[in-house]
Parts: sequence; C-alpha cells; structure tokens
Amino acid sequence: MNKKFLRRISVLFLFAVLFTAISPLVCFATADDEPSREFVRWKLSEDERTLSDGKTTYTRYHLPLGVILDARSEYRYENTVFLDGEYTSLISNQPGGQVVWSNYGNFVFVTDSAREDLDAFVENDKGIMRLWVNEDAREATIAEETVSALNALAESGGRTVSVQELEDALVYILYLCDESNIFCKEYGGIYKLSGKLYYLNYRTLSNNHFDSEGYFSYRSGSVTVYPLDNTLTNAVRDADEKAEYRGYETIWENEEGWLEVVGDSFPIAYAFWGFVLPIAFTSLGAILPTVKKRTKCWGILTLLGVLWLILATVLMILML
Amino acid sequence: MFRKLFSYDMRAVKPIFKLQALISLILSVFCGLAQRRLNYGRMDDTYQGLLITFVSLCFVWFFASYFIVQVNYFNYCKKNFYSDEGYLTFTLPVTRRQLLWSKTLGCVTLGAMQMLLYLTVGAIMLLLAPVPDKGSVLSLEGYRMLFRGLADWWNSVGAWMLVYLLEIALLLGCLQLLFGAIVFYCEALAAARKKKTKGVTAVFIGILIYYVINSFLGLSIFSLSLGYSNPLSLLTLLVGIFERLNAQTVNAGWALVLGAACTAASSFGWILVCLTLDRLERKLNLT
Repeated sequence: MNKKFLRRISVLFLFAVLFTAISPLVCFATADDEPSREFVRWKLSEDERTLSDGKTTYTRYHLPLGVILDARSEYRYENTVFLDGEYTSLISNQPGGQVVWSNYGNFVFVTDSAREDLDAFVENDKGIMRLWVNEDAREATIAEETVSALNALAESGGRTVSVQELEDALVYILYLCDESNIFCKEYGGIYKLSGKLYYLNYRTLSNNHFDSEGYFSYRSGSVTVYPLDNTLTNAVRDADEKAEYRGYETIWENEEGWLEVVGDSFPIAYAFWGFVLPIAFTSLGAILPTVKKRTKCWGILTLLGVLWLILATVLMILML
Repeated sequence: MFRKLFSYDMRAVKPIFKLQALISLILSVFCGLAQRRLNYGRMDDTYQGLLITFVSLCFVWFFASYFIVQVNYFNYCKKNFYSDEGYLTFTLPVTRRQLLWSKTLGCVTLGAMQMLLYLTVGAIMLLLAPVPDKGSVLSLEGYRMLFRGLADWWNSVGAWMLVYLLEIALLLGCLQLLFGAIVFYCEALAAARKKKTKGVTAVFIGILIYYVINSFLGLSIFSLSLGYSNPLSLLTLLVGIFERLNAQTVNAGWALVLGAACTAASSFGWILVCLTLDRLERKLNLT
C-alpha cells in the first residue's frame, strides 16, 4: 500500500469517527412542546355522570337548547366507554382537553373549571362573534360594535317577511362562540333580499321560531327584518371578504402508535441517511482513485458526499 | 462533437415523444370535458360510469406513456452501445465518457420534456374541467384556486417558496438522472454476460430495481405500510424531522431536506454513471 492511500484512509477514518460521534446528538432532539398524547383508559361511573381518565375528573353537563357543540378541532380517543346502552368513543378538542363529548355529541363531560366558563357562556352573551357565510362555508370574526349596531336597528322601521322567503335568500349567520371555540349559539342572521341586506335578531324571537334542536326554523311564520345602513353593509361586506374557509382538524389517538415507532427509529434513520451513507460515498470517492483511475469522476463523488454530510449536520443543529 | 451526439440521440426519441405529446394533448381536451360533465352532475348511472372509465383510462395513458417513451429511449441506447451498432458507435471520434454523458443528458432532457408536457396537459384540464358560468365556454375557477393556493403558500413561507420550487425541480432532475443511471448500469451488466440478455429485458430489470429500492425506502405508494416498520425508511426520517422542526426553523429545515435529497439522489446516480463508464471503458463485450 502506498503512503497516499494510507493518508487518505486515515483522514477518512477521522471523518467517520467525528461524524459518528456527533450523530447521536440527534437522539436528544425532541418534538415541539405539546400536550401529552398518552393512551387514555377512560372510566365511567355507574350512574354515568362522572368520567375519569385517571388524572382528571369530568362531570356530565347538560347543554341547554340552542347551545351547539361545534369544535374546530377534534382529538378522538381510542378507548370507548359503555354509555347509555352502547359503546361510544370519546372526543375532545385537544389531548387532555377540559371538555370531552361522546361520538354524536349527545353527552358532554366537563372539568370543574370548564363548567364555570360554560355556565358563564350559557348565561351571558359574552364570547367571540363570528360571521358564517352559509354559501361557501367560510367564516370571519366580527366586531362587537358592529353587532351592537345591528341590534340597534330594531329601533328603526322593519319589514315583515315570511320565513320561507328567508330560506331562499343568501344568508350570513352570526354565531356567538365561547373562548375555547367548542360551543356556539345562533345569534342572528343577515339575509340578502332583492339586493339589500336585512338583519334578523334570533334573540328577539319566540320559541315557535326554533326547531327541536334550537336552530332557527324556516318551516312557517313571519318575522320582522331590519335593513342595514351603508356603514353596516360595508362592515358585513368587509367581513365577507376577510372570511376564510373553515377547516376541521381531526387527530386520532392511535396515531400516537406510529409516532412512537417513528420516535424510536428516527435516530437510526437519521444516522444512516445523514451520516453513514454520505461517509460511505465520501470514502468510496477518496479511495477508488488509488485502486482505479478516473480521479475526477471519483473526486466529484467525494464532493457530493461531503456536501451531503454538511447539509445533514446543519439540519441536525436546527433540530436540536 | 458532444452537441452533435446529443442532438443525434434526441432525434432518435423525437418520433415517439411527438406521438406521446399528440395523443396526450388530444386526450387532455376530452378528459377535461368529461370531468366537466361529471362536475356538472345530473346524469344516468351508465353514462356516469362510462365517463369515469374514460377519465381513468386517460390517467392510465398519462402514467404508462411516460414509461413507454422512456423504455423506447433506453432500448435505443442499448442497441447503440451493445448490439452490432456498437462497432460503429465506438469508432466515432469521441470518448466513451462523452458517449455515455450524451445518453445520460438525453435521459434527463427527455424527462424534463415529459414533465413540461404533463404541465401543459394539467393546464388544459384545469381550464376545461370546472363548470363555467352561463354564457361562457371556459372557466378560470381552477386557475383562481391554483393561484390562491400559491398565494397562500407565499403568505405562509415567503421567499422560501421560490427556493422550494427550485429545489423540487432540481430534485426531479436528480431522480431522473438516478433512474437513467440505474438502467444504464443494468444494461452494461447484461451486456457483459456471455449469454446476452435479449430485447428490453435489461431495461425492465433496471426499472424493477429502481422500484424495489423505492419500495424498500417506503417511497412507493404500494409500500407505505412497510415504510413505517422499516427503521431506515425515508418516511420515518421525514416524519421525525417534521416533528422536530419548530416555527423558526421549519422553512430552512425543509430547504435543507430538499437540498440533501438532491445531493443523495445525484450521489447514487453519479456512482452508477462512474461504474457504467468503467464497464464501457474496461469490460466492453460486443461479441
């Protein structure tokens, strides 16, 4: 063996030791801080009023008519409970959330702190006001002042229309939602009738205008709607322009299973793809010219291998 | 001389590529119109079934024609190097390196041309598939959605979008180089055997090897489940990286991942090109 060959081998050996030594650092890189997604074993009390995950206790909450369960994200637990004569899966808005509900949303369980918040939301009209564009499932938040101005329209003259006429019109629905974005109440509707916008405050209507689930009913009857002035029309149009498509995020608890698999094998995969392979290429590129000719060809391979190592190292530093 | 070699190789693939382009462009019009009819709805089940079958067959053609043209090109290269034609090829006043590079560059260029063709096909279908408003023939709704998507992407990542697009184009080029390099190396190995492998067998073996490698890495759609159970899977790697990047590092991180993927694919491709060249120069067997 010539000296040149030995020198290259020793340099490569140093490289290999260096990179293999730092590659386990990636094992310490951890995922972003997020709530624990540990598998939960739910326990339901015999009277079906108390639910527990071993750490937190939830008690049954009876949602009054008109309060809608409308979470924007769902975390679906794997473990089921025997509730009301059948096995049902449980859902929360996030892992370890303060509110848990059954698959069809007909049973809601809350923690003590969530109960206080929810009571306050049910009793008072305080929360986030959202404008829902019924035509294409978009929504935007709307300022409280705009809602107050809409409510004040009742002092001006209105127009009486049948609810069937409203059913065919383009509608923006105002929802009052709680801070956790899980519960909402239908607050009012803005209807487009013959090119003009009219407001209907659902709060001022009697019970016979709502269906059995508390939604505004278009079955029969007539209501008084109030025309929006230019300022309010512009405010609604602005909100419509800003409205964005409302997506729903669903996460299944059993994803945790594969995340754990990935978590276990990630350092191996990263060490292999980020360090072992490029070191092999760099070594080949450095050794082969001494065995076979074509120095330039193998030299480029060395360069590619080194570039690969550098990129993998920088990426690893970013993940730490 | 290299330019002449390259244009000669491209000329060889021109007729079949033209045929692919012509059929694909015509099909894209009909496929777009069929999709529009399906989007419009209200039709009987038999008619709907026929339209869905037609649209599916169009997509089968778009997928298969890529391989038909590529296999045709690799077969041309095989004949050019390892059949009786090789006696003429290797007497040309060019080095074997130039000969191989001309073929490799031809493979990447052909891939790029096919990619442009598919973009055109996509653009036509995007124009025809959405149901237009009354009184107009074409609908720009598809383009509006596309540009809205691009604008949203730009708003969320900023100028990184340009870096990503550039890197994705580069990665596609590197993967095409890797694909060509594997097939060329298989051809070189097959040509060295005493009992010559006939026809396009070597080309198919090359394609098969490419897909076996992809399946092992969890890149093939048929092996996604295998992907997670295999600790060296690229899926494990990518999901792990995704979990570990935070809001500040996510853009630079993915740019690095794409850059590393380009480097890795070109390293694999390069080593195979070097090995093929070694075979061409030292172990060529035309008998």
